[in-house]
Amino acid sequence: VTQPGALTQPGAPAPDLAVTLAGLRLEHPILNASGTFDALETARHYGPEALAPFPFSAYVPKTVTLEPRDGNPPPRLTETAAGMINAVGLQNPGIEAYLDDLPLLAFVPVPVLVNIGGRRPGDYLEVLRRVEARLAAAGAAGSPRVAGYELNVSCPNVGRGGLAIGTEPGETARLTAAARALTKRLLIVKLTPNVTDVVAVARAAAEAGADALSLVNTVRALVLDPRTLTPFLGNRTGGLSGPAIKPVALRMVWELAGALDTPIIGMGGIACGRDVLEFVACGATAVAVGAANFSGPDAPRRIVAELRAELVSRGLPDLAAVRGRALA
Amino acid sequence: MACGSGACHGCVVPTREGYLRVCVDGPVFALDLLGSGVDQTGGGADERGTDASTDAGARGAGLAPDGAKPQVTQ
Repeated sequence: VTQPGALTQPGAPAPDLAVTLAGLRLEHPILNASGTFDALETARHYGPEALAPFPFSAYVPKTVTLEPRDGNPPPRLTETAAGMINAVGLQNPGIEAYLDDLPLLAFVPVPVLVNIGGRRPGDYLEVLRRVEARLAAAGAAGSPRVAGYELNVSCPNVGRGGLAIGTEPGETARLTAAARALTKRLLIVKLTPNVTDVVAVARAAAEAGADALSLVNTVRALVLDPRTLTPFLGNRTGGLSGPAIKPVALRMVWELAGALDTPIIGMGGIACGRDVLEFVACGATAVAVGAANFSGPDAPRRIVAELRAELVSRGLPDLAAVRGRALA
Repeated sequence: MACGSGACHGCVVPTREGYLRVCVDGPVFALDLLGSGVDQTGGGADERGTDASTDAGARGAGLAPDGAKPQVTQ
């Protein structure tokens, strides 16, 4: 792992990777995409040293829903050209078990963003209510630092025919406004790329009180079993991620940043430091790494080191120097 | 298998305790644990029987009654 300043020219200060996302200060711009990194399992599997220092500047646990969800029948994922497709279906133990385990995340040294999913708007709101209630009851001691929420209104693998709340500006606005009324914490709405006009949905969320927007979730896609020529995944369709979707994600972040001032967490196929820089150039304040985590626990630290090296080699003091450059 | 460390829930097998991950809950499972105790529609208990029209519906996994889903290894 590259140490801070190791690649800096003699006499030049080390580039500053810190960003402020809607008031939340982050040591560097790289979060994990929900469902692609599990802090507890990583510590168990690779040892606590894999998390020291913690590889992400904020931790987004896997989506939690009100009730337990079994998830979709296998097969749930497979590799594709320059990416992967998944249809896990938000398998999770439900909010009560999630909250019981929340103190286990007290060791996480970065802000935690609770990612919430659901089928009905009321489900999201009830989850949010219960998190707030549990945090209020627990106090600061023994809890992770829950800085905010990410509303997953964009999972392509649940709901009716893959349609999500996030495909409808009106539905998105109603849910966001209701969630806004329940919390003072950071409220992020995670958008789907599976829409004609991402700006319309984003604007609806922003005007309803979202502090930040994250995009993109996976792109609805289909993979066939090459032998039978029938859908391979148990859920038939799934969500495409990885480098294959990076240009799609970049275009959407770029469109959004050109239309709205709301801070953006860009994601979609980020696999190296230059990818991060490209999302920032398209207007993202922060980014998330998803599928690349599956190459191993070192991926985020490598990407942070590469980002630092990119800034040094380009003579840039910080990310603000490049943010939005592609919008000109 | 994507992550191999318990994060992605991609490698699950149906068991009487729900879908368990081969990578961290297995790879060896007690024989009497194997078998379907899971909702083949993807939802939780509250949604059972209401979900047949979704993508996650009746196709099922290799355990689907119609046997339509081939078992493929890649």
